[in-house]
Amino acid sequence: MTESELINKILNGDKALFSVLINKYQKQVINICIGFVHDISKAEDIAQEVFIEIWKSLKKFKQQSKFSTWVYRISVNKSLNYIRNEKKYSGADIISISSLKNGNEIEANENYNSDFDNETNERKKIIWTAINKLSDKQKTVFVLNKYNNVSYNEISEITGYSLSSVESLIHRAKLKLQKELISFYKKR
Amino acid sequence: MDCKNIEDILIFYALNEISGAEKEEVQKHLNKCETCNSIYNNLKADLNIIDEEKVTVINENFTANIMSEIENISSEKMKKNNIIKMFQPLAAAAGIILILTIGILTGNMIAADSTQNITNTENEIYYFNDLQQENAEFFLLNE
Ligand SMILES: [Zn+2]
Repeated sequence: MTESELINKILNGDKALFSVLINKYQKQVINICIGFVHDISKAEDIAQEVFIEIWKSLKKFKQQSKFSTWVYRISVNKSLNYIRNEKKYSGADIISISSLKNGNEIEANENYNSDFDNETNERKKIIWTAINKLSDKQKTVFVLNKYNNVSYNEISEITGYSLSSVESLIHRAKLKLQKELISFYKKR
Repeated sequence: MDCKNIEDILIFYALNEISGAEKEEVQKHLNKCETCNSIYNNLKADLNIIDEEKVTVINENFTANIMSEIENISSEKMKKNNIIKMFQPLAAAAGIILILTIGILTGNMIAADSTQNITNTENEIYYFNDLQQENAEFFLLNE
């Protein structure tokens, strides 16, 4: 069954088939959300909202564009809104202690070595802080490309930015990360 | 290439996005310069976190939760529709009363209404238009 046949069947009342769509896109959607919030449980909450939104507006989806493009666009919108609201209410950095602790527990199970855990947590803090310093535009294109391997062409369709804007945003995002990370290493 | 040149392209090297002569020059420099080599190792390890963060398996519970959420939405919608049908005969009468009340209360409500609009629009922003209907919102994203 093609994706558009699947969507048509769902729209014609076969609700259960929506689970096929969720299974097909859940990793991609969750990974995009992780790129913005760096916390699996927050990312799953946002991803759930994404799929509910898809469910509610599926009949409005115009099938001339790719379904994935639409799905990823909703994922970015929901993630940016989540970050914005979180900033508004907490006024703080979105990297929470809890997300570092969670990561710690997972690694502790796989490989019990406290030096390793500390080093990994330190690295998480460094790279997440650097990513969070990107502008929303840079972060959006960087996350889509690096957390979900979305091509520059599709990023252009998702965001409405021209292909050359996408290329230059990604380039500048990498330069900014490089600058942040290197200046951090030098201070240490 | 000196250390400054290397620092300007090291992330592209770490991401394997440069090739040919440039790549060789970076390699040569890293072999003889301990400072840049240590920066490179840190950069590489930090960028690796991105791949380690990603989920790689499908979570069936996640799917099941959404499916039951959807079930709730559908049954609530049906209930709402039934209630609307039940009360339709009363709606006409209520409408007349409403019009009279509105006439009296309009003055007071204008102020309250405008604050409500502000909070509503603050609630959710469509950075990228989901259904590509309006273009204005693209400009909400400032760099
Ligand atoms: Zn050097």
